Amino acid sequence: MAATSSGSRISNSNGEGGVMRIEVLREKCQGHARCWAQSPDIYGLDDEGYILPGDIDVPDERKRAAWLGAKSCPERALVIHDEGETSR
Amino acid sequence: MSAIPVHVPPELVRDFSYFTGPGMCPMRGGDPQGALAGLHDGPPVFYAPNNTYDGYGTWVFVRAEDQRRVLQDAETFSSHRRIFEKALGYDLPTIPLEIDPPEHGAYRSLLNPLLSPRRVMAMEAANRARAIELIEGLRDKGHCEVMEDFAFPFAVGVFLEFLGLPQSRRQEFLGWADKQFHGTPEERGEAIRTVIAFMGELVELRRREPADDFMTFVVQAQVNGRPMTDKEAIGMGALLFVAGLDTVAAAIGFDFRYLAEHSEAQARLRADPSGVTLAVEELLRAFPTVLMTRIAARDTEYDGIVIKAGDRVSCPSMVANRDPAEFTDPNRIDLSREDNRHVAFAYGPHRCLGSHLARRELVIAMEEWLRLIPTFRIREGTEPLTYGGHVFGIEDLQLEW
Repeated sequence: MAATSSGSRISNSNGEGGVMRIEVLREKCQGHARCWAQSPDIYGLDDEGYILPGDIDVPDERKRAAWLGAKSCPERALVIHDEGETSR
Repeated sequence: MSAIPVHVPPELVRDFSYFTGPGMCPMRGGDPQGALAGLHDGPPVFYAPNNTYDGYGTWVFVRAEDQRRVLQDAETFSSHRRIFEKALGYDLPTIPLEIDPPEHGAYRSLLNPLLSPRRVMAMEAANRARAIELIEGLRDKGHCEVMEDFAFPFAVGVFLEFLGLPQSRRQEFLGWADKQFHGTPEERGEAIRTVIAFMGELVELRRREPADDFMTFVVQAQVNGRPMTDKEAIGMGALLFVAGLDTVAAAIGFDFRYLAEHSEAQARLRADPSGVTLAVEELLRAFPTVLMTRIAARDTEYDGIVIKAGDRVSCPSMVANRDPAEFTDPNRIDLSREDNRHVAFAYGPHRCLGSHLARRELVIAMEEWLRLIPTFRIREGTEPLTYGGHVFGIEDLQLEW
């Protein structure tokens, strides 16, 4: 599977405010794949098991799943931007 | 014991050893991981003057955040420890563990797909069948010694099949691994020479007679646009051998020991087997077996502490995993803990290559054991033997049901 082009994979379904964005620090990814284990539809992996490049815009109904996935990264490679707050 | 280097301030020196400290020596019914939790009451970084099997001193990094910084920075804290140099009389790096970035990437990229989450899913059915067969074979006895009767045959069986090595030599291979991790310096040297000679023969065999196995893949592979050398192939085989042979078995031992002593946890997981995945993560946090060692590649300063090139830096996963700054109530074992970014498989570029396979083996082992074996406990009149060291372990784990 080829890596997708950089840019968002999941776009916000309604385009309204309060968009959650997951910033992917790919150089920090070491292939633990905990994000994928938590939420495989949000966090895709390449053939080596490392996260696909590109930040991820998360639709409202998947915010909780995206948050859990980002918060499972042992390397802190996934930065959550949500409603003006940033955490990893 | 080596002299304390002059750049180490006396106030940072502690009487500490993974081998002889309290709870570290082989003992009945011990808790070697728990015995180290108290380090969080002391300084975040200290120097232990005699903290390797061969008498070297090491810095010890206590906090999870500091271990992450060290392990993510392979340029400063090299993983090239020359593990085999003393035994062989020349350096033969285990690969990819002892190759640092950027050279590390080519080897790692070659091996990653072989143990990716997706590839591990394809091994699931065969691994589960192996577990079921072993458990069904001992169930009617009403008791067993978990390590010899299940954990080693299961975990090592999976591993030998992956490497394409004959199951019939399991005991022999385990003997080499045991001597290498837990033997005297002389026994370690002999075991290392034996493993390297074996891998040399395997490389030669697979160049001559290719098969559908790991070593054939390695010897036929290209790295950096040229064929793999014999020395590189031996270094890869040797690493998988020492890293994967008994680590999963030890984890199964610590997991089952915990469950044997907590029948209420067994009951909860039997009632809801979907909880096994989280339970395995929590037990990996509480009872990891491997500690990571790095060597400073250059003089550096870490939060005001001078570390000189060549200094050994130890990052004990079992200590980081009980850091109150990163884990709520870290000494409480909560099998449904969700926020659990433990370091059982290390951080940084040398993250355990086999972690995805190891996790599935642990889940399969626990699921099938709970499904097939009724409520079990430590066999009356027995206590398992536990120990610290470079690789923590458990033996003589007698269960009855």
